[in-house]
Amino acid sequence: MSNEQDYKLIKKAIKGDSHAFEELIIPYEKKVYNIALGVFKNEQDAYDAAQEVLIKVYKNLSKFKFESAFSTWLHRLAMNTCIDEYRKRKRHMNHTTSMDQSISNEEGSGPIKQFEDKALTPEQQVLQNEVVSEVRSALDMMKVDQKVILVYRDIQGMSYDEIAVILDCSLGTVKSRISRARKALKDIIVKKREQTDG
Amino acid sequence: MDCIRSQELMSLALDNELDQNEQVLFDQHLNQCPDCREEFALYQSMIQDLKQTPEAELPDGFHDNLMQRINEDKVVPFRKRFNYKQLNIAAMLVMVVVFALVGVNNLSDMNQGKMEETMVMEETTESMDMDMEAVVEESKESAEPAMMMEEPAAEMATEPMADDDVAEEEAGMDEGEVAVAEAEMTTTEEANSESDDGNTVTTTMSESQSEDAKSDDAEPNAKLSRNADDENLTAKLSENELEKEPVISLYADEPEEVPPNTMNWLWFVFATVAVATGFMSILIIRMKK
Repeated sequence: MSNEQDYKLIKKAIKGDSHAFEELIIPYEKKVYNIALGVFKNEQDAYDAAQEVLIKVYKNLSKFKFESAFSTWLHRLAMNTCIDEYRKRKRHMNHTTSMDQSISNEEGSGPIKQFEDKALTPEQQVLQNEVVSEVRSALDMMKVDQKVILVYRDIQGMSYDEIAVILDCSLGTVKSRISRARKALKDIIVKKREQTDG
Repeated sequence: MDCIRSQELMSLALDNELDQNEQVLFDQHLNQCPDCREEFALYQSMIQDLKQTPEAELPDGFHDNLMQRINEDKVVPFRKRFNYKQLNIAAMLVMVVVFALVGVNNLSDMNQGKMEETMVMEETTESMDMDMEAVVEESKESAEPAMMMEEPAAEMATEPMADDDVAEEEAGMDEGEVAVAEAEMTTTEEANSESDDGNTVTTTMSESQSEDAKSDDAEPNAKLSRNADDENLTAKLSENELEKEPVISLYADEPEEVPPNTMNWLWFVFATVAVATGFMSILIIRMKK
């Protein structure tokens, strides 16, 4: 969708035309959901985060200044919201019990806590493992800031210039950040392979 | 080109962002260095995997759920929404102005308070005189000569605040005592006049101050020869009483300048409303966030 079309819809939406707002965001919903999916490990978290992003778009549309493309503004909002949500949930996760946390007892090393996995049966897990590639699982282990930049560059295929606008930084910074993020991902993959082989 | 430089350029090389010269040098290095070649191949497959990650389809009902949430949240259309930030600033300004005005009002109250304080001081010295009477009674009870008790009583009169409590205790001890001799009465009167002198020194005009100073100078002599001539003392007392009159009239005039109490109530109500408005606006903003 061109900028002019977006601008017209935004102006209508700001005047209170909810249909114009729907028309404006429908083409971006899938992108936003996939950005969230790149950041979060599971679909439910991605779903919630994507909804949060689009509600923020609705609430903050009057702050859009028509100086940049709507897609850039939306992506920036999506990135910031997803990173915030990710950190919030990570903090929450740190307060909950880990799946493989051992129970210490008086005799020393206790048994490993056993949890029933209600989400997937072993067969489903095998299928999922086939679908989720090694790279995607390595991506999940990255820092959220680095993960987001790889989602934009290598999954969404955005140009350096677009990312520079979204991150509000120079082209040189974008290049070095992408380079560092890729190196971090490669190191994780190499480490995982070493663990599997060893 | 060495391995370190080659690794620095790998990310850009993956995106075909190297300039022609750099690209040639990079390719030459990869041909010569198997480690860098292997690493670059790993990067390429990694990026390829990421690019091939299929774009997930939106879960069923994503859009409907979103629109429902927006409607349920009752998010007011953008234009109709009140600018809470402006309300916040306005409330803060109102609070500042009101507190400033209340502050000014309190200043005038404080002035009034000072005058009340001086009046209380006057009352305290009067009560002190009563205490002096009790002290003198005690002196009579212990059958000591009146001349011996005169000096401590005079000291108490010149330092009324410090010895106030002691005098009160002594008065408490002598509760029930009735008889007061005429000689002691004159002693009390002298103490009374002395304490009044102390008060007028702090509050009255320079003329009366100089007169008080004179009378203060005269007092030690009077104390020594008190028993000898009581008439001098009574004459001095009447002189001091004359001096007190303008002071009392000064106090009587000033309370009329103080604003009426109704003004204070108005300020109080106004300030309460303003503060409540400020807190309400802050509360609304926090709820909206």
